[in-house]
Amino acid sequence: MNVREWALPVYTILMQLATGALLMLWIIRSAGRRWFGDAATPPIVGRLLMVLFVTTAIAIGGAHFHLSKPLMSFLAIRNFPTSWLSREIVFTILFFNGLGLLVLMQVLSIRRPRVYTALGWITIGCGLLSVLCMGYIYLMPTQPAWNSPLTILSFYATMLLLGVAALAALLLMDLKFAEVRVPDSVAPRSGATGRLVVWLAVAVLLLAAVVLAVNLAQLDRLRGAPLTEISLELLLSIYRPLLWLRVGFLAVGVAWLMGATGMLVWRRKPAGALVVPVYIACLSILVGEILARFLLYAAHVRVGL
Amino acid sequence: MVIYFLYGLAFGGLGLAASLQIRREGDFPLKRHLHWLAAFGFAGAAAAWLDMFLVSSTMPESAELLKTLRLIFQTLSGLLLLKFGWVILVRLTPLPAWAVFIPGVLIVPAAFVLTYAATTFITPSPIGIPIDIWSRYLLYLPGSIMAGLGFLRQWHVQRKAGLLDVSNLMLGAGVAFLVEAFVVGLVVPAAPYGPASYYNYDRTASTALVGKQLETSRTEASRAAGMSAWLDYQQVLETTGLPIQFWRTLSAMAVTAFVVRGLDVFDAIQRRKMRALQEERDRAHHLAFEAQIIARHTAESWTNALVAISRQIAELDDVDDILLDIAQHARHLLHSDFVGLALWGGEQLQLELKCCASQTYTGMLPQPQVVTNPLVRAVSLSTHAYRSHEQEPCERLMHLCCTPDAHMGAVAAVPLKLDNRPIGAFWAARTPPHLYSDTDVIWLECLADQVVIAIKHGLMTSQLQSVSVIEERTRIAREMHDGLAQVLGYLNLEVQTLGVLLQQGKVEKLPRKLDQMRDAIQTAHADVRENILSLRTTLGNEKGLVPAIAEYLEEFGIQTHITTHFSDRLAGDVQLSSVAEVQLVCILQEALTNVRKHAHATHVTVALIQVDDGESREVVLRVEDDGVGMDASRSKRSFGLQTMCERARSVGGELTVVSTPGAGTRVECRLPCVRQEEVAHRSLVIQ
Repeated sequence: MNVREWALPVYTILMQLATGALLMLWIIRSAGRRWFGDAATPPIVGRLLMVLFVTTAIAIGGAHFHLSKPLMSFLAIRNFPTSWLSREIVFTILFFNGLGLLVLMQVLSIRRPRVYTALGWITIGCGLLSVLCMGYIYLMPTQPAWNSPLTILSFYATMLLLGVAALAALLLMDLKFAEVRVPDSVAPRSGATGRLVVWLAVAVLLLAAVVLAVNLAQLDRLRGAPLTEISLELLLSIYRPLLWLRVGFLAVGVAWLMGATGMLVWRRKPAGALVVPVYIACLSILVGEILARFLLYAAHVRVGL
Repeated sequence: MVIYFLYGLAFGGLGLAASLQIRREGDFPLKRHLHWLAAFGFAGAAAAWLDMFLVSSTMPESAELLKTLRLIFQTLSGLLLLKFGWVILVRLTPLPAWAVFIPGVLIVPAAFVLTYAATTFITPSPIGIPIDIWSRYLLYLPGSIMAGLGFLRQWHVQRKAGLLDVSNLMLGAGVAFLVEAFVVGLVVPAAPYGPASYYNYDRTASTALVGKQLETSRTEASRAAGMSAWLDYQQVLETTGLPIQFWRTLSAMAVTAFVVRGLDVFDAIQRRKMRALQEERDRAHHLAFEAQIIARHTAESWTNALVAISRQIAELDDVDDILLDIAQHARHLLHSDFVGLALWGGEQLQLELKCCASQTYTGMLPQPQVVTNPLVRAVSLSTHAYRSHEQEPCERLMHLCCTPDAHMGAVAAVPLKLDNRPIGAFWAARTPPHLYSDTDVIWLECLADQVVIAIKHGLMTSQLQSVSVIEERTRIAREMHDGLAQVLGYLNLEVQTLGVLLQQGKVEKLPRKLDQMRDAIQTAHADVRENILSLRTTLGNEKGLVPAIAEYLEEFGIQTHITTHFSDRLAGDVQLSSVAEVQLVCILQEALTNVRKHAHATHVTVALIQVDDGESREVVLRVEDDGVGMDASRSKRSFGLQTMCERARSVGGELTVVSTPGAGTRVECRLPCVRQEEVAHRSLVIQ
């Protein structure tokens, strides 16, 4: 892959991460009273939304490096009725704008809880549709290695895995920030954040299992068919070290996260002590997923023109 | 080879300087992290000198081993630099709050870079090249940047502290590390991947698919992969005309020079700080010493004031004068603008200001003024003292002094309690907003105790004077009954007898009767004159004890025709309490009356003697006559002698009578003196 093609993993991974994180954040926000109380939830959500907004902006900006004429990218939406790519772009832009509106409402302190909640769910819907379109783009007969519903499934699994892991890291980052800025406000939140991170770690474990299962199913699907055997051969020969690295990074990330949360539960450490381990775990999981995406792109073999 | 040698020498020098700095005394902040720098320097030197051996080809048989060792040392030095950069950036000076976001934000780009690095290892080039490249990109580059930024932060910090020489060295070290970041971390060997080279992906992929090995030569690699190099060694050579190793050596020497000088300066700063701390400590000691002297002077002033007040109380001075002195002492010692003393009283039981001390008026108030300040009123009824705080409401500081519109900035008030009953309040107030301290309140409480003692003494003296008046009246009544009334009764009978004798014509008996009547009248006259003399003999402030006794004796002698002799053997002033002096005079009068009435003496000697046995001091009154004397049984039954004994005992003294029939009588009264130490001790107990 050259630099231009690295734009694809950057875009797809970051979009899936942002969508998954927003979905999990909105679920937690709905249960916010139980976790953080009425007063603490809006500031936490507001700051994390800002991070997700920036992440999406980087994803969209990165995607432009994939284009021959980045300045003409807006023309891609003209084929919305027929092209999954156009639909993906439209839903991505809607997701980005929705996030922008949520951030704006937070910054301007607009107190419309129902509108805010509804806008959040609509934005999440746009993100989910964007990921769906992202998957459909790769369902092409000329790309037998990709042409399977497992591709879409793997995208959604990655979205949830990265979303949950990223949210854990973001919550701890926000806690650390609050610890520095307003130390007195941290004590009530610390316990709630710690409990939430433990649950998120359990979710990461389950989702990592799902992601690995889907990946194995994808590899299994490549076996037997002559057109996909080449892809399988590439994966098992040249890219074998990367394949092992992908599994290794994911396993290490999940193990690190579980170990860190285990320390929190059994040794009753404060949530602030989880920051560095969770960062390392997230980094490891993210590297694993980017490697998986790299392998997806690297192992494809085009048939025909 | 020379360049590699110098390159290694620069790093070795850096490591040596850092390790020597660790061994030196002093505890400057950077010292705790210098071992990372020292280790980095030695590892970098080892890598550079291994390069030197590889270039010289002196040991071709060990080339692979040397290459492997070089890669290990290069990676190790990169890791150590990364650690040093981290600690110097984060540990030396606290980062701003937003910096906690940095690690979280860097997760995503770091993940992509790591993934990219991992993918480059599958390219068919020698494994040493990606290790070399990524140890520079992932370790040297961030490590040098962090170290550079760390030193630049120190530059900013030292410049703000006004240490320009230090800040310049920090700036040099920071820039040197940033240059190091570029020439060591960013310029890498030729390779078919970025960011050192941008190349055509399709041709490289096909090369990868057919399994052809890429050569390390840049020209061939470029030709094979269609690379466009911009930051590899060849590009640096073509652009600058000098090999990258030259620039790296230059950069390493700059880093070493600035850091080594900087370390010395850090040490100098530390020494400077230590000196400053020492001076600060000396100043603090000096200030503490001065504070101790001031505190001692203050304590002495307070002690003197309390002793003076105690003496006034002991000497039964006028209560109003004592209270006024207390108020003045309080105003002076507490540096107050106003001191007030209020007592509950009046027809409607109100808190009335009795006396005050201020700049405009000091004295007892001619008309008691009702105190309306809520704080003082509350304190007068409470059990605790109070001092105002910074946030004291204005209304609580109003009407604290005589002038209604005067506003005070701070107040300290203590309650006055007599036998656990609230009797008033004593307070001090200041105009400027300097608050009273807890010590001030304690001193004020001491003065308040003195106020209460003075009032109590005043009440007791008043009661004592009433008792004395009653006693004196009783005595006069008794004297009149025993003396004048008896004589008048006797004369009445004699006059009746004279009438009967005249009626009976027994004129020859009249002269004898008239003589008896004249004797009786003379006796009565002497009694009356003596009583008048006793009543006239008082101890006023203007007349001391000794002159009063002398004058009384002289008068006594004239009236009774008894020769008197007075012997004053006191050393200086009479140190008896006022009550004791009164009792002493009464005892003397009683004794002299007995001499006149019963002793039939011609001489009487009165002596005042001071007895000092080291532990106690006494004043002895001795009255001796040359009269007929009396036996011991009579002396015990005498009412006058019993009264004298009681008077002596009431003021802590004793009275003895020694008399032998026919050999005169000696009455001796011993009364204890009031000691200076006792007064002082009483004051200290009160404190």
